[in-house]
Amino acid sequence: MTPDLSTTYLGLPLSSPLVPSASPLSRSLDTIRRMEDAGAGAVVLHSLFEEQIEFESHILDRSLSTGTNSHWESATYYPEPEQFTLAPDQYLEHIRAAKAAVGIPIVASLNGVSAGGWLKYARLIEQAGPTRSS
Amino acid sequence: MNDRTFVTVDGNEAAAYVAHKLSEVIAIYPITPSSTMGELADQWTAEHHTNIWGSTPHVAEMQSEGGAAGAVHGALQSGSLTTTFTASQGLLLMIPNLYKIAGELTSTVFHVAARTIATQALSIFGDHSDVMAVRQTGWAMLASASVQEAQDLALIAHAATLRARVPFIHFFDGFRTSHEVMKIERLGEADLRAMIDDDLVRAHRLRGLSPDRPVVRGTAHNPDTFFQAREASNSFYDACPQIVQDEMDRFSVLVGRDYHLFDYFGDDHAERVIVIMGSGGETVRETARALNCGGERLGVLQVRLYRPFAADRLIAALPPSVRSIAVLDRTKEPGSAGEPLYQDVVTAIHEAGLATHVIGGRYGLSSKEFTPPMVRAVYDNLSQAEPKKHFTVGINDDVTHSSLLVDEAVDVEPRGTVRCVFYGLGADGTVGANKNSIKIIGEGTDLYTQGYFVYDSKKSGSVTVSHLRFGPEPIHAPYLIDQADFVACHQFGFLERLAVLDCARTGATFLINSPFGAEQVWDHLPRQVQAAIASKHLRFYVIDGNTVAGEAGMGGRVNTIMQTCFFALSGVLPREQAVGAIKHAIEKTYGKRGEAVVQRNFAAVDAALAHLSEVNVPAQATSTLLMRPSVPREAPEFVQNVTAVMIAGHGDDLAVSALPADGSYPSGTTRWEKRNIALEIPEWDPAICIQCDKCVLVCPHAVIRAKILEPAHLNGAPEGFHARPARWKEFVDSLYTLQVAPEDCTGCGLCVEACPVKSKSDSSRKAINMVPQPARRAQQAANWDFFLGLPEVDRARLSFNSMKDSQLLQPLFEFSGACAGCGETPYLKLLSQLFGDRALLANATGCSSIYGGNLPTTPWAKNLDGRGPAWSNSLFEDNAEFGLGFRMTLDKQTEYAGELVRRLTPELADDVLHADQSTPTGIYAQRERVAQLKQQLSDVDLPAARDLVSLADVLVRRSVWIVGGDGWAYDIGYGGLDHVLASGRNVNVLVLDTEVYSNTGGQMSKATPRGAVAKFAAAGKNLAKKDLGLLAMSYGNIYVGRIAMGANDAQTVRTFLEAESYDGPSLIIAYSPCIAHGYDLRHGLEQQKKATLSGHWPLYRFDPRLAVDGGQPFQLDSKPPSIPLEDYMYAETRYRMLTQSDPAEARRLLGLAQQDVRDRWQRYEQMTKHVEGNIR
Repeated sequence: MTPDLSTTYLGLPLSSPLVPSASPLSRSLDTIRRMEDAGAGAVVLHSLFEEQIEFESHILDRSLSTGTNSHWESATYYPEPEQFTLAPDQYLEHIRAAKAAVGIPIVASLNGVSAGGWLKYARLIEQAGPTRSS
Repeated sequence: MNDRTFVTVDGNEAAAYVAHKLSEVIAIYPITPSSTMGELADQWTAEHHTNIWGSTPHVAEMQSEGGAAGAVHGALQSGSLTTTFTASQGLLLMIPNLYKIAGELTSTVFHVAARTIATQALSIFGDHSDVMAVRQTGWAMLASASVQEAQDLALIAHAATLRARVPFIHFFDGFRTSHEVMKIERLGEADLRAMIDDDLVRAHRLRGLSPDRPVVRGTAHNPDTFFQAREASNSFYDACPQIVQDEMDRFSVLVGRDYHLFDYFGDDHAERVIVIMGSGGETVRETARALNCGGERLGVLQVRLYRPFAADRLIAALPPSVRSIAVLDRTKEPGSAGEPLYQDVVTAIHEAGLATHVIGGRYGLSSKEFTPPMVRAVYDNLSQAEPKKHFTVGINDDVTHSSLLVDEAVDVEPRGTVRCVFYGLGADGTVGANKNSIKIIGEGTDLYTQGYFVYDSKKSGSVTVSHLRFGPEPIHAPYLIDQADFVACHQFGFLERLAVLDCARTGATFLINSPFGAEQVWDHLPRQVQAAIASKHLRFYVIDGNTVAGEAGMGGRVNTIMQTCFFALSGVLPREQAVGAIKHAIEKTYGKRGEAVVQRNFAAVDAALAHLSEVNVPAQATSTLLMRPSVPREAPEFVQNVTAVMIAGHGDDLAVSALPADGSYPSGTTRWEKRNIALEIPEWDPAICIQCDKCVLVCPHAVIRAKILEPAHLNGAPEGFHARPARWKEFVDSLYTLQVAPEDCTGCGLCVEACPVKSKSDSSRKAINMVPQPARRAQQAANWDFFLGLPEVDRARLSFNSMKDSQLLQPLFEFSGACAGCGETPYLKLLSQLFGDRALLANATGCSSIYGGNLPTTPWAKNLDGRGPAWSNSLFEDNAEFGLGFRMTLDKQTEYAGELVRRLTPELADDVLHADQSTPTGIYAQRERVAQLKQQLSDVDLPAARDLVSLADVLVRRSVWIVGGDGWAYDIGYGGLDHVLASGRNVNVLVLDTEVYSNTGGQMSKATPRGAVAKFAAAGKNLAKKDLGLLAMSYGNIYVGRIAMGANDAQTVRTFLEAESYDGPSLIIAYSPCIAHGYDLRHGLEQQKKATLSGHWPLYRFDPRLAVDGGQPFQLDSKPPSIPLEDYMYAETRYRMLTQSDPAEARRLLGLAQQDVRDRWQRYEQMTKHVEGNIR
């Protein structure tokens, strides 16, 4: 007989108190599924770092701006797609996919660096539908 | 339903919009200034924009314009609505197909941004020499004169061709119209649908080849029938003009804008009329209008349909009162009876039996300004009793005296037009912000707008000048602003070298981005600037934009800050509305790059106005500072009299006599330019330097140099000039010095990254470190001058095989205008060091021909003996063949010289004709022998002796180099390259492989790697890079080397030496980091290492000489891949972009690219184990 390990955490009913913390394991849907299969009560996703988002944004901007509008023959050097999927968008999409892939709670992890940033990204994560953000 | 909107676009976009909407198949190839049309078509297709039938056109990039024309021909013959875009030599490459397409009465429209054809020089700018070169092909030719017309007549052309069955070239002036940004009314899809008759579309489709209704088309005729068959199409051409007018009339009813085959503007009773085609007609029209207001009776006939030439319509359009006509051609046809449009008008007048006097003239070649005063000069010429015939206007022809005298300015622009000029750097974002400003004004107000952007010819530190007009009346002013109401200078440093206030009108507003505040700035201005401000009574404002930008995290991009100040000072919009509009534009432009970027720009905008101050202007100039001369006083005469004038921006003032008639210019003129564009420059720390010379090797601009000197040479050295004991066993007791050219450096920092030394006391310091330039400039400039005066190291004492030694050789390629951190130029510099004193270079058109040969200055230089690389550029597509021609000449001349030596000086034959010239010592000895030979022959009065004297120099071994980028080598020039390599001749080919068409703005080539994003490969390149080296190796007798200087500099030097020494064809493929790769090129060396470590760029040499005795010719010079490919790829935006636009596709292509690496390495490893057969 399988012992009942169910519990609650921050109001979340969990089938088990074993919750893998934020790590690269949660980057892949496959490993999230395997963690669920192995008995994880929930999975904490790898962290979304605010400064990483900003850095990525600045690098993209610099790369797309460098050398532009500087010479007769080359106003730009890249095609610009209608939309880029940058770090927050990719993370939010990952949340949605993880939620759809498993039945256990998905806990997002956020590492902000500004007061506005904490709130802004927490709201986005909430809208994407994780169970909790930490 | 009317679904028209007002948009702010350039001529290219205006035409491409219609072309994409009305096509099913589009074949493209990049060529300035038409590239944008192809790029937009490709982008719209990638974004699934549909044509008017609800289907997305297919777009294919071809390997050349010839290929594009062939693909178009095929698509047309199989029934598709097909188009392409081109210009200049591109159009000429299409000529054979143009004849075929017209001969087969095929409906299509080619859109051409008309551009100069290369003659004594290449020019990317606009005139009609390209379209005039196809006027005989049987195509209808419709000319647009403005951005609005570029759209409207595009539609009329597409509609007319379907009805007429005559193919159309729709053209407009390159740059002046193709790149002019204007507010226009965009046609709605309903307009397009209304103008295109679907029955005619289906008829076109049904004429396409089909096995269900087979015909044979493209037969060969015999003398019995060809002539008659050629005349069989006459009725189609007879009907065409009326069809075009019918379509123009339908358009007029539908849209409300009237066009005619020949549109007359001006006085109904005009006696003097100018006939003209293209944007110049706008200038003539406005000038005639203004002069007529003053009592003149002038007119202008704007030619829209040039072919078929409807002479009767032309005569009908002229007022009966006309007594004299001046026909203006924007092309030159040397040796003709007159330029083409002139001849057509003369014929029309003659055949109509009129007595009207007709003269012809040339104007506006290569985008030469064509202004109202020039128009007045033409009208004045017409009023003379004996008007000058075959005149030129806009230049000073002091040789054949063809030019008209042009008087002072005449302002014909409507009242209320506001004119603004902005001086900026390419890097500070000025042009981008101004493009946004035009959109803000154009789309946020009822005002009409116009923007035109002028750049210098440099790729680093380029100066940009933006010309903006806006006002309540439509703008017909296709020329630069010379009476500006607002002038902004976004870089304080410009004031010492550019006369930025020449274009300011009295009472204008002047805004300067200055590190000095309102109280201090006056005393830091050159006297000439102060005088202009005072005498023109300018309102003078100042802002420290760099500090604001720095605090907002914008670096050097002051664009939105200066833009905010412009709106505040110009008052074109209420301030709050302007700030809101600027922020909206920022969100639109930068929003997809992330919120952080948007917020950073917002912060800059919000901070700008608080830092803006008005300066109290003293009544007169007080400064002792003077603007510096364009070149130093010690520069040679030609540089003083010609080059300096161009550098100062006054090249338009140079007379014909000042310029070489055959296109030959002195080399080595970049050294006089002293652009001072680096904020930071490297500084040598001799105490810890190990004298490896890696910094010298990698410097793209040859601004770091090393020399070995003797202690006595230090006599008279400036204070602060350093030298240390040389670490060379061959130079015992000598000194070593390393010097930077502070005024020529671009500040890229590659040298610092190359330095392998770290200070033991401060690990952040190296043996070379970046320091602020302004504080070091004067001292280091004095040091540089002293350094140049030191003797060069004796080449005979150096081992060229040593990378370290090679960098003691004088570079004969220096201070080019290439991008800071350019990955191509270090290879060219190395080539010049090793072989420059005896090299001939054939350079394919592209980046290397622009930074290598675009005036005002040239980087190819000479040594103290006056020897240096002889350089030339033929075309883009023929460079290998061009270089082979050099070799053929040298081989023939060497053979003939040998025959003469044996005949005239048999006693010298053995020594002179069989000399060992494999070493610098051998070359030197041979030069001595040849000098002796010429001396010996100098007194011999025989034709053969004089022949030998004129030829003898070729007996010193020449080195032929064929240089170009991957667009040339992999695509447009591949057929020729393959043939030249297969010729077996002793030529050296250097492919500067940036894996993309760099010069035209980053279009995909067959060198582009799988997974990279490029223009024409917006969804990521789906196929693997072509293995050019492997193809060449398959011949067996071609030396092939693949190099990456940053990965293995010794292998690079060795490969150059081996390739050059091989008495047969050689091919070097050089990995060249490029601005189009998308990372800070300061890290280019590290990225080259990663390219090699990951297996993306294995290093190898294939030397056929090794196979002669059964050895293995193929040698891998790099180790098996040791890092994942993504570690290399995702350090560059060109690859990373795909992960941000289509992550799934990025993963797929990464997997395939990694497999490419494995497959390639396995193949190469196999090649090291087996001797290929059939060697030599």
